[in-house]
Amino acid sequence: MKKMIYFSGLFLVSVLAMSMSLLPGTAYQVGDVVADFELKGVDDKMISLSDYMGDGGLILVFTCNTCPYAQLYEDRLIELHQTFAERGFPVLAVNPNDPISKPGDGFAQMKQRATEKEFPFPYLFDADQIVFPKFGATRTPEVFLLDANRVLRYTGAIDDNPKDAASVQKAYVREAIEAIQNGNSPEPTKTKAIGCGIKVKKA
Amino acid sequence: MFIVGLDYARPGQSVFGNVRFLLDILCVVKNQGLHMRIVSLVVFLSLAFLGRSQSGEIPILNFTALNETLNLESDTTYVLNFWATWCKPCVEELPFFEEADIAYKDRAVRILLVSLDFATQVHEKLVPFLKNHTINAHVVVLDDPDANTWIDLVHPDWTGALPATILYRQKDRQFKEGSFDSTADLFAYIDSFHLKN
Repeated sequence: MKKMIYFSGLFLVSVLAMSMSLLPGTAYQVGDVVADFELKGVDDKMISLSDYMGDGGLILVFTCNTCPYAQLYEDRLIELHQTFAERGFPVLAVNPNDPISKPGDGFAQMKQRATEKEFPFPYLFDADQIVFPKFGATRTPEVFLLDANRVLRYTGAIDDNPKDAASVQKAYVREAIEAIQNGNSPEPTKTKAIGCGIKVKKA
Repeated sequence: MFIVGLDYARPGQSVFGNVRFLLDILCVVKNQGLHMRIVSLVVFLSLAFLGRSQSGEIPILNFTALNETLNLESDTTYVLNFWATWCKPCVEELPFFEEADIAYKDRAVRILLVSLDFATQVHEKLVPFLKNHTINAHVVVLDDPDANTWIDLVHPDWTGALPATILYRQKDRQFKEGSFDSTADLFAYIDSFHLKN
């Protein structure tokens, strides 16, 4: 009898786990392995996550042209890339916004912004809005830090002071990369920040 | 101090409006000690006399100051909308909040628009924006850089994306990330919270 309860319990748990992983709302959590994806960049070439991964991992960031908080971080993203690309963690930027809701975030405008700012990293367009929901991204800018095994190790803010880079106390992404490189776990693994809600296509 | 600022924020509001709003606050402190009563009286009087000359000034608060407003223990339902002039969906739903501010005037519902506009742009952007859009509801600016420390204190479900709205009455809270579709949508949301037991 005990065994039966045990097995039916196990069965229930596994069914529950299976159904949960199939739910559309289930996004990657820290510790999950991220699936590869491929999107078009501002140079009109398709770039995949696996193509672009560094030896250490990748700084994936959902960002856009129009959000003031995203703009505040453009120079810091460039700096992160310049510091960490050669240490195995390049930046990969993805614009998730629907340009019908936000015309300044269209592909042509992305090209223009990338040229103006001389982005040293690829700037991809999630035109069909299929990538950002897998990550559970809700705002721009929002970082997803992956390690060499494509495991999600940190999500959230770039640092703790959007408005003033000089006053940053906690450089979350930088510290998380350094933790990974030293064989430690980033702490914290998740932070929140103010950002612009991602503009989702209206059905 | 914050409450003083809150009342200054409503341009074009009568002294009586300020007084009425303050009465709510006084109800909160009536069970407190003599010291609090005196403090409240001072705040009350200074507002009644000085409030008008200060109207148009928008208070800039850190989260510690805003958090006081998130923890008032009265029977009033407080509706706090987090927004910014540069946030398109926020701007689209702002008229609904202005309408709510008018429609719920005589009920125990208070609207507060918490702007995340940059503190340096209050005079050049926020003030003209409120004037152009005829927004008379209370506005404060929240200026506190390390959002990771306070977003969860507003509501654990908030990711930090704008717009976001929290309703609360005493310890009861209801939160929505994203925008409302219409005035009716917002009113239904407020009513579902305010009218429940």
